[in-house]
Amino acid sequence: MKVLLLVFISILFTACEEAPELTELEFSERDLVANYEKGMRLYANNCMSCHGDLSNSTKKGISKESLKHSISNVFQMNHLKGLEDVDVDSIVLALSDKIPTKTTGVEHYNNYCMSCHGDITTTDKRGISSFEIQNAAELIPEMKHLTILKKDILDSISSALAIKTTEYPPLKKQCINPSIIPSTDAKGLSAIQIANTLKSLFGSDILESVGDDIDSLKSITKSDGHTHFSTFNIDYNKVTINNILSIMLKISPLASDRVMKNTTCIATQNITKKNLLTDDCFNSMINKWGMKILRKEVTSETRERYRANFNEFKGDDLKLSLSNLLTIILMEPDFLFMFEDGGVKSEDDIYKLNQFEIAQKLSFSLTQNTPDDELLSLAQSGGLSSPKEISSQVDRLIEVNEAKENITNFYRELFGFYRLTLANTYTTDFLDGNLTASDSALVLPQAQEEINRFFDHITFSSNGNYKDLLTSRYVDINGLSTLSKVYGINEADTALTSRSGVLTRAIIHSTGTNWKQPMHIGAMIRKNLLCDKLSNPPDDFDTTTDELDPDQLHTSREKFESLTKGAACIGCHRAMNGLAFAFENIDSAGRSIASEKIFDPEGKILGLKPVNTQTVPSIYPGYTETVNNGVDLSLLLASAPKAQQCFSRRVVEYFNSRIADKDDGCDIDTLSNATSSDMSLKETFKTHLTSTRFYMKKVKD
Amino acid sequence: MKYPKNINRRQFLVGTGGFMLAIPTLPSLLPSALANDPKRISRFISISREDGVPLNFYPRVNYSSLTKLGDTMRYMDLSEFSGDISKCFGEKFNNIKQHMNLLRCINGMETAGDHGGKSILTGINLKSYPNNVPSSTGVYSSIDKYIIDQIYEETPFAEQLNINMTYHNSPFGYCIRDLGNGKIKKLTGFIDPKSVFNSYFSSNGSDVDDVASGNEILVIDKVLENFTRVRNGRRISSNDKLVLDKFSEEIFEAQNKLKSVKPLSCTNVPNVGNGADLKERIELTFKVMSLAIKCDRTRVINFDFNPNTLIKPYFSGRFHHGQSHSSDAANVAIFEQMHKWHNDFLADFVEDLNEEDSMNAGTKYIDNTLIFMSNEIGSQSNGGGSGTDNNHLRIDVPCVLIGNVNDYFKTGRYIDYRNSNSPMNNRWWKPVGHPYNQVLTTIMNAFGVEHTTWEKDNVPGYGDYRGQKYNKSNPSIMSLGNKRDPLPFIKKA
Repeated sequence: MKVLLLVFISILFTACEEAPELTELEFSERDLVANYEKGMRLYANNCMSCHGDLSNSTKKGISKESLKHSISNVFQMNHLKGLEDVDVDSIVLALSDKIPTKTTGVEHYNNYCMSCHGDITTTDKRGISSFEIQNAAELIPEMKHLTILKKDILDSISSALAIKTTEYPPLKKQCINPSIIPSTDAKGLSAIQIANTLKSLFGSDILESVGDDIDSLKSITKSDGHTHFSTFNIDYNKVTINNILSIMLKISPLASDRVMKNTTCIATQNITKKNLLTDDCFNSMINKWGMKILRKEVTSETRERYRANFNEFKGDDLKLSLSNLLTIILMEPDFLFMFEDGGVKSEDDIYKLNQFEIAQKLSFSLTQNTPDDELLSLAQSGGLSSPKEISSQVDRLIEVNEAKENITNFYRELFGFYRLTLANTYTTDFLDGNLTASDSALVLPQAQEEINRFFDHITFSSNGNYKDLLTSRYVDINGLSTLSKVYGINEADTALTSRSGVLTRAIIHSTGTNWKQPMHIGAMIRKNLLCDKLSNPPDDFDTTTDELDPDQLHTSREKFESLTKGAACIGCHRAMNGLAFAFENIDSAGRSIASEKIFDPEGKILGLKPVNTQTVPSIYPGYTETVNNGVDLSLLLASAPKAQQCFSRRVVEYFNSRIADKDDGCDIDTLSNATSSDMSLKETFKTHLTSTRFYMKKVKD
Repeated sequence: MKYPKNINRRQFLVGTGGFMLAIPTLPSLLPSALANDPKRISRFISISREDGVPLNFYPRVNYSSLTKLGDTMRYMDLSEFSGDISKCFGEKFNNIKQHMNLLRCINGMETAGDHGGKSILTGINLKSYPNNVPSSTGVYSSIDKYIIDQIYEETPFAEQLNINMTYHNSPFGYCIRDLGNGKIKKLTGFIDPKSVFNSYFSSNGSDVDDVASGNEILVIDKVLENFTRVRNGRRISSNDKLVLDKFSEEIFEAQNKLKSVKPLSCTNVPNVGNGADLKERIELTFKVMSLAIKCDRTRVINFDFNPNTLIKPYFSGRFHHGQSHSSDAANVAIFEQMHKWHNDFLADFVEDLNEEDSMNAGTKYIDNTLIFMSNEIGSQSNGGGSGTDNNHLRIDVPCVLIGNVNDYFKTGRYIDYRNSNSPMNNRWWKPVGHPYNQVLTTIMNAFGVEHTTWEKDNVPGYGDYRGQKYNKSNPSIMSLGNKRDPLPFIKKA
């Protein structure tokens, strides 16, 4: 690559009369433009006041050494000592006055494609991959002449069509030191993990009497205020703790019944009295159920303790005493938390999980459920000792429904549509013939079904990758007649026409009301997909007085832009609006629109107004790239390194069940590399779940 | 604060319901003079909320299905709703809805600022003149001041009970009283149930009746032992130990709860805590209010019921603000649940007062107690159920009246006061409704207070309609009728 860079730079400056010593600049090709512009900004902010504007600078052509010397020795420039080497390079580049050309991909496009597909800025082929170009060249007679093009040319055309992500700055690597292992606390079981576990242990009906209590456990506060995954720890407050206790007290009678029926020595002899239960039978019951519940072998000391507890309970009813004992076991810290302290730590306090801890971590991370019998059995026999053995279990478990549901849930939470119920208050004027009143109630459930099929297809059927998530036109709406109307395609169609990727799907945009939620989408992309921080709205704030003329019609975009333009709002909304308004051509039922219907408060239509989807998303702060619509924006997000790295971070966070910290940087980098090299999603997840680091931790005080 | 020093037999025997043991009222023990007194003792309780409401605060019935009584009023008996009244008034209200009046399309006074809390004029005893009011000779009082005088007459404890339940735990800023001549006095508001007890009840009991023991307590003993064992005997991080400690503390408290049920009466008051969590604190506060009414420690209560951010543990870390300003249907649904959560406490309180009134023979407390719940902000909906209106308008401001006084109200109705021919081209796209002033006049009239007692400088109404939010619209089109009149059709014929 470096050789190519040098060649590129040489070519770039061959025509120049005095080519600067550009070989000293350690820029990659794709970053050259971005760094040139960065240098311009740095110069303007730090140098211009003394040396004049860039075009007339007194320091034109300065070398890196000379600039660094000045920074070190000229008192007035001491404030620049904090600049990193790459920043100094950027300034030198800007002062070289040799503006780098954008990319040769544009020229290739102009040479080979423009005559049929129009100007590159307006072509409908943006986002096409080099693979697709190659396929088209082989299939379409008019493109036969392109089959001779080499892959690097196709790549450069594809790159030019992928919107100008080459302008983006290089990613900062997250990995500080691969030998550093994150230190973590014990993970408490989440609400869904508790629910799944209890169902697995005692039957799917075990929670019928405790629905509200389980729901109340879903409060999550162990976050940085931005990332909210249901896999994170429950906030253990008074309410949640009491509800856990309440749940266990409520379910234990039925659980006791199930344990008795599934304990051979009790069931075969139909024992109902406590004093008839032999020690052998009790021990065999505790060995079996204790291991299932506590996810580890029951020690003799623990067994004796349980026996003593069991004997202490008043009354001779076996079921009642067993119910009380089960409450005690289900309230064991070892059931409610995943403590990782049963193995051996190294001298440098690096702890490697023992067999049962590996089983529970893998199982809860991948399936959100307690280890199944096969995993427990392998743990018992030492069958999870090698990466190959673990990998084999990951291969097995990732195909089970619970794992698929878990991965789908990851997407749901990543893309911010995890809510399961929505209002249905679309008015007749809004539905307007295209959808009937009965359709309106089906928009959301069918949109959810469609997106589940999409995720399943991308992840499991087609081995798709991150880019496919954001750009694939695949659709399966077979049997989803309402969604067929929403998308304006036939149920048998397998590709969307004017949309691509998750962000343009109905599930993202359906609100159940006549009104859109652009800020919800903008904030979701900014926070979840770009990992930027957004402050929460203050507890109390005054919006800028609405200055829109009430006698005029205003689109959602116009209203929000007006409401958020005040100084108190625009700081955050600048980061959201540009992302949100790219989707203005999709209405709140998920339909494509050219004009937005404007309604009065009672839902009566007042008129139509054309929508405007052109925005400046500013993927990176300060950048002013323009996208024409949500499809463009999705392409940009699919290929922006920042978004790819953010996706990797979210994978790490979701499966690690906690917010990533600096010590997770190496894992994030590993997955970033996988994502940017188009590794399939399934392989990406497996990469993380089979990583040796995943089964290690630094021992905390 | 003044209270009767000697507790009489009637007061001694009055009980209260709920989780505390009650001593039932025995009418035969009432003094005969009291039983024969035709003049009833009445009470007024105002509950102020400050969070705005979602559209589904109100019943979602078609306007056309309401019974028409005139151009500006339609109604439906709440008994006609087969299920819950609305998403915010849930199941708990089904047994008490005959005592309610739920008003719609009441357009409130505007303040000079963004929020309208000072315009409620029942919970907050002051309204400053906005800058652009015709006269500026002083402040408007809350109507409580005049109702108190009417209720107590010669009785010695003419003071209302003020309770603040807000996130900032400030005892002030809410109970401000107009002393005349432009002077005001800040009254202390109680911020927790325990201090109300300490101030309003002279004796604290300590009866502890162990009613639960045995295996369940033993189970919890063992659970606690296990937590302690792991905490002290395992190689776990200090953070893990803290989490286990937290668990242990809460389980320990749960165990204590199991062990005791505390009896309560006017003279045997358990040592009530502040409630370890917000829910318990609110429950206790309403219990104390109920007890204060039943034991006649007060007849007027103002409750600033705005726990705000404190509700986060019950709503996945959310509180009203993020929901009330959101058009996200999921957030709107949460906002509805938040209102239901608050209103459920109110329903329990009303149930508590739905018992025989020891001071008004043959009636129930709720027959002689008017509870008025309002909100500083009107429906936040711009329509369609979403809440994107950020303007904190006092338009379509919630007015919930529960109970009765002097048999004044015809109750059990949802009443929509909009002009059915409302021009919708006003600035806020809201129907024209009746003025909030008429609600205040109605309440005062119910207690025998005339608007002239309250009004200043012959300015009709109790505040203007020209706050800054109205500057671009013609305020006169937003409300109907004479501001001095009571609401039509609400009085029992």
